[in-house]
Amino acid sequence: MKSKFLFFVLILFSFKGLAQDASKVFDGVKNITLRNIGVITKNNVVKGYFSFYEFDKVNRKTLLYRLNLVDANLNELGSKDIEGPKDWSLVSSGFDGNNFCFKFFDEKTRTIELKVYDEQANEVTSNSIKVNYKPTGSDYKNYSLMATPELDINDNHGFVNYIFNDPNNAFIVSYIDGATKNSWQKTYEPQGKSKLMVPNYLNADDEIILTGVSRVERGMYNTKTDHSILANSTKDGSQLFDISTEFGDNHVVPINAIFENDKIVIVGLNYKSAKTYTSAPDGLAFIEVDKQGKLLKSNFKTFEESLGKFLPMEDHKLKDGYYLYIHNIVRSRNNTNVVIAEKFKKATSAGGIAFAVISQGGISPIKLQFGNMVAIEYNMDGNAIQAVEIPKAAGSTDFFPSYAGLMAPYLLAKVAEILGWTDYMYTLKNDDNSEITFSFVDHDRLDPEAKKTDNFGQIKYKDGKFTVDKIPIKNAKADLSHLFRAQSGYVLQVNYFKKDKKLTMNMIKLNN
Amino acid sequence: MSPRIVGWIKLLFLCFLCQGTWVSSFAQGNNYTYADLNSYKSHLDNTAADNTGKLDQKIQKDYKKIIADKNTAIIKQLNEKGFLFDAKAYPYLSTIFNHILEKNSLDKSQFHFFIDRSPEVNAYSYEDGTVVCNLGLVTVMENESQLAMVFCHELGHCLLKHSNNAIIKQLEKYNSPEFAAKIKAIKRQNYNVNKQLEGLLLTDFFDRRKHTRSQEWAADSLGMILFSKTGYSGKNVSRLFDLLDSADHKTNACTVSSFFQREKIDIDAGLLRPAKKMSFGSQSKGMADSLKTHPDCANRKVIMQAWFDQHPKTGADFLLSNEEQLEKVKKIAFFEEAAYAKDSDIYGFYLFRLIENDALFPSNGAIKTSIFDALVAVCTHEKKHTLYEIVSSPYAPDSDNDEYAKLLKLLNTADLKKMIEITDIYYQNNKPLIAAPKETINDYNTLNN
Repeated sequence: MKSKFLFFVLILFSFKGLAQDASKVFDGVKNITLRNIGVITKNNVVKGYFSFYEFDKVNRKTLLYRLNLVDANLNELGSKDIEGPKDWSLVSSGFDGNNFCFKFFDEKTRTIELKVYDEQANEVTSNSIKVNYKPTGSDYKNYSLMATPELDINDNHGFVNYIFNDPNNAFIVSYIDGATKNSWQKTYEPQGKSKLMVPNYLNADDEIILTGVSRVERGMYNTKTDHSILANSTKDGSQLFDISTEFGDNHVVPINAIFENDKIVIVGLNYKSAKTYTSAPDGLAFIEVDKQGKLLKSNFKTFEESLGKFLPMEDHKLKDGYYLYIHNIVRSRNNTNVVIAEKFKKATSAGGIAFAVISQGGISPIKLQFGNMVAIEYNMDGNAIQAVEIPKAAGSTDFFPSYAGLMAPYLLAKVAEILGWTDYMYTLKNDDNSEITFSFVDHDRLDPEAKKTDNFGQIKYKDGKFTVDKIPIKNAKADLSHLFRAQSGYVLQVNYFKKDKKLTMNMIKLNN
Repeated sequence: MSPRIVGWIKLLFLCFLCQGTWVSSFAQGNNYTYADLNSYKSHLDNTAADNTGKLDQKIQKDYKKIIADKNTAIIKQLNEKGFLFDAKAYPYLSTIFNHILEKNSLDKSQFHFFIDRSPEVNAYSYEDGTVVCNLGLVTVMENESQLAMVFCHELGHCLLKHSNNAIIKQLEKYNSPEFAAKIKAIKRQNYNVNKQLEGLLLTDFFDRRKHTRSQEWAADSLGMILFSKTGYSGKNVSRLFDLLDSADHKTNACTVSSFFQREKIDIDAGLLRPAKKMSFGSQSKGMADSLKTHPDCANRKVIMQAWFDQHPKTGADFLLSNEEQLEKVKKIAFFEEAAYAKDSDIYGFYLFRLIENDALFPSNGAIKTSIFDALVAVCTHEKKHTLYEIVSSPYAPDSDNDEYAKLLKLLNTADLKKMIEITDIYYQNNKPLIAAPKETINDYNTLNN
């Protein structure tokens, strides 16, 4: 299953460098009140890491926090002392090329605050919003789970954040830009039949922020959806357009968008059913609109017509009853679309049935079984240029709750992804999109003699080719190892050696 | 043109005259064993005991610990090939050092001279009378008189007991009732305790830096007096500050891309382009100035020049040898810097120094062999996912001319296939000159399997 990035109690700010900067050692690791540690990203590019810890008490209600930053190679960037409430945490961070943005959350007042700092560590502007949900209510938990903690970053032009909020489970787009000091919030409440609206950041430029919006009707097992592309002005948040991506019997879920001169090219998954949460996608959709939202062109391609050339099929489906779960679609420097997917199918087991009986209806005997990773490259006409199956051990999820037994496999896969049960981990790229990497966990041996262990795998797309490399997640000599996201081509391995009370951080370069 | 480049060009010219010497020093290896280690250990112990005995009992324990740690570190460095005791550079530089001692009637038994194999342009000294010159410093000096001035400066520190006095002063301060009272008063407070403690220590730190800078002026002054008795000319001595200053602004004699062009190895320009510099917070000028350990080179140059103008010091730039001899020593220093990087498992820097040497000595088989060896080591580690053990991570340089930053970018970005391709082409291009050991050839063959 997906290896969660645990937050380590370590002191990033006091790196004691060895001769090799790619490796850091901390002797006599102490417990300090570290609030958070995390990755600074610029979309899917890792730019560095932050650590945020309590430094001092200013008064009864306020603490002095110290924020330390290092770059993607663990070279020290600097630090900043910030006063804030006692129940503060630093949720995530981003860099837009000019400024840093930090997303703080005050648990007591349930306030999210975006603070933008320039490269001299001066606060430039901020944007805050209060979460109205009752902290004890299930909505608070559910919607917190659905909202990604990460900021979305508009290259050189600020930061976008989405949250859900009461009343009516509205979603709110917040935008903040250190360069122009523009900062606003826009609220969108579900209307008509839709009971929930789910936003998905697509892309932005200096004028427009594009958000894919899924409107979901009530009904767990029979969920109808409706999708659109929402455009807001970066200047004041005013709505520029909100165009539907429903085209007759083609129901398009937008995944990403690319600005090309005066037009916008949207790439999405195309469904032949309006139940896009519960059914499998039919193929890809390519939609072109102008900057006023006027449709210029649409193109739909089924997976079957192109994938059959590359992957084993049976009765127009993947062999052995597998479905394909699409995790991400990324535009490459070669003007192609690179898709990462994972094979999966619904499974039951005798043990699971027995367990379900014992649990007296609490859980179902249903699991999802995940198979190989699949990487596909499409040209701009939606034709598959290549598809590669990357072998990995078949892993399965935990048993789902009893009510999940009736859910469609695709909805179960969505739930599995939200819960971090898939083997796919994350997508990274370099600044010019010439390298795109997809990371996953493989639970198999690296070679026949090796011990069975969890491995970190990296699929790299470069120069029109997919290559794979894997390393064991655990350092053989360490008592504890964890992997952190790192810049494209690397993974940061943190090892703890109990006997020596030593923590090492190694920036491991993958071979591909 | 920077002095370092001028130095390189002169060296290139000279190396054609004495290629044999280079090859022999390259091939034979050098001696890193200090013959008088036991007597040196005794000297350290005796000095520590003498100095400790003179102190207030309150600080004796801490003082003893600090000196013991320092002594352990220096003995460790001696045991781990950290210093050079070869048959050419060491005797030459020691002779200059001893000449200064003799001319100033200083007791030789109280001083020791070592050459640190570090490429950093620096010299340093300890409270026990040990003066150390880094190889990096040797490579930028133009004549004996400049080297002598640096040694005189370090001797000035020793004679004025700067290190020892600084340790004692610090220990006395930390053990004083006033300092303890300040700490106690801060700790009694409920709020801003850490911030105030940090402020107290930072003020103390800045005071020490300020004091250190004043000690540098004093060491310069005494150094000039010691120097004036040596017979070296004072005419060009102040130029050494220009040389030290230029060493801070990395300028390289050759470019990494020219190395690959010469070898006809195709490298994507992006692989050699270091990342754009990011920062978070910046030091104010006042803060940056407060952190400096040394006064500005430009100011020191003006004052030294003025002193020699007022006290003209006639003499020679070379007393004990000649320019040719110094250039030979510099060559040894260039190679030793590379060899030290290899001994320290810093293969990125090792390869970088070799590439520089290759530009100077394009037909030297030993250098070609070493480059091949370094490339195979890089590929082997990359294949095992342990590149971080031997190659530093890339950094965003201050200058576009930082060639080491470019090489690190390449080593850290090129995939294994590309690195093997580079190694293959390099091997094929230079096969007749490469005499790699069997292990390296085995590793190389394994890469291609």
